Amino acid sequence: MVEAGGELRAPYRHVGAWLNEQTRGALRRKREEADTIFRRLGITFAVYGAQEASERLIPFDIIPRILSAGEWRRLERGIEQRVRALNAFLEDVYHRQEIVRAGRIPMELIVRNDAYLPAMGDFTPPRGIYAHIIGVDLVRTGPDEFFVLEDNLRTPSGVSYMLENREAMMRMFPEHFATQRIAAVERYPEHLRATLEAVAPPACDGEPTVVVLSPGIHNSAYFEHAFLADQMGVQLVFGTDLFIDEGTLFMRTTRGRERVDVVYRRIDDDFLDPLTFRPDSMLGVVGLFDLYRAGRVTIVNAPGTGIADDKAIYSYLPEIVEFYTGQPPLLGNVPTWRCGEPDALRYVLDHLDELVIKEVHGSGGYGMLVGPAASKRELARFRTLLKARPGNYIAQPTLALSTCPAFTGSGIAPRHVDLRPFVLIGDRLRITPGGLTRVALKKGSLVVNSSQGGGTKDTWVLED
Amino acid sequence: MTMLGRTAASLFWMCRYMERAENLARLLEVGYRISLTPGIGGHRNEWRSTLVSAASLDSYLARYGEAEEVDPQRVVQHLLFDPGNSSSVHACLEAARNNGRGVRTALTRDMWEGRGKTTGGVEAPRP
Repeated sequence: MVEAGGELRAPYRHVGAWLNEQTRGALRRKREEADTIFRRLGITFAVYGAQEASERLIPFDIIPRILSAGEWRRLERGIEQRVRALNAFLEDVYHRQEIVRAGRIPMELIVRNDAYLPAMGDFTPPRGIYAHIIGVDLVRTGPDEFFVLEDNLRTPSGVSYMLENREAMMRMFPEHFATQRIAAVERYPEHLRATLEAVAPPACDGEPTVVVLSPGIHNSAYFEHAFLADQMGVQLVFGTDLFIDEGTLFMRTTRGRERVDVVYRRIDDDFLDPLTFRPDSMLGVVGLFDLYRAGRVTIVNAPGTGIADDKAIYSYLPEIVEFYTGQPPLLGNVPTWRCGEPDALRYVLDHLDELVIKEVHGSGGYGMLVGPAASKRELARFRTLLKARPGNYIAQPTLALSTCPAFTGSGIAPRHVDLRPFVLIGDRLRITPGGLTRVALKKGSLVVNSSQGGGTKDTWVLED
Repeated sequence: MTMLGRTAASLFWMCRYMERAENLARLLEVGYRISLTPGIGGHRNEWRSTLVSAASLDSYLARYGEAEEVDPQRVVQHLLFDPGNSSSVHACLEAARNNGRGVRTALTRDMWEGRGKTTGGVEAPRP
């Protein structure tokens, strides 16, 4: 919020002034108000492994994170370039693999990857789009410096929090929205529906029927599945509501069966179809994948997109962007060492206490080491893990992540944040202005994941 | 938009479990009143018949064992709060709650909040 010299940065002018006028008591009351709003809305998040009744709220911080129009425009250009390259990469990986033939990426990285699905080979989904819904995780390290931390192309989540955060902020601080021009995010469900309908399968004539396929009420993101289905005005289904007959996907309704054309699935690839993938899956639909390849139903995002958000592939993203767009990337990657390479491994082991080590196939902030914050024992443990399976890890420098003021137990204090804008690709490419800001609520912590105590903020992109 | 078959089923069962919970609560109240009134042949413990009416005698005996007279405190506990008793008010409300969760998009916001408030409110009181 403030420049190096202590001056209030331009986008925060109004909010900064407002914050100065608030007492701690007033801010606390506002936060309680936010909690009440969220409880009523029922936005809960189930944490796996939690012992007690596992529904709880994700902590929400009432101080918004603000970006100027100019900052956002620059980010948008970089994001658009990146997601187009990622989709081109996916198309290539499942067809001629030109990028491998050109020697830019080692073949093993693709074919030995669990997320690579040979079953998707030689098939082109509608409009040639594989990843329709993408969450790009960004971090800021300087006034004009943003890096992409991670891409999420499988079943990115968090958009419901973005929408409900905005809803809560508009209710609590209408005066801010009246006096500043803050880019709207409310149309996301409308845009999502348009995106899904735009990729109806070739066999569909007339208006496509879209459903949201959820693994069930015990899934940690169930709230979001229900929320999005509700907001889009489409059915929320479980695998058991669907069946296939005569080469068509149907859902069971009180009036008999109804055809389904597009499935927005929030189920992992592995569990989608026991006939093609894991045979023990109870969550998917038998025969769904065959139907998909036959062009009689569309699955969003396409199966097999995980190959592009793998942490090992991430380190090749600059090459990928250049290969498919002919341009250098506008948005940079965080410098990444691939521990599977001997030189890199040597460097990493020598500098272990300065680096962040992540599992290639990890997620949710688990299985990672933050060198500077780690105990001697943790460092030693990771040293062993690295030497045993170096190819399982990548390393990145600890970044001086930007902070944003948050209302903490001890008043307003800086906390590290990241940003996840959401991208939709269907009839058009659309990027939500801002996105979800995740904040590490523990002082000094860099871990923003909600499953490990992170919270969220509303993100405001000011219009000119 | 037509309703999914599962939605119709869940809505039915959600309401049915709410009904059962309410009926059981009333039954308990009646049993309590009767226990305060001297019956034919002096004061008798009516709680056993309450358990029978609630189809919970077997589960009660399995949990607490046979006794000359059933203990009123335990009966109340068993019929209201015991998660191990599938007929208890708590169990019925939990079942209603879970049925409601699965059909979240079919419930109005008021219904959803009410569901949360009611089911969240029934927990054994701490000593």
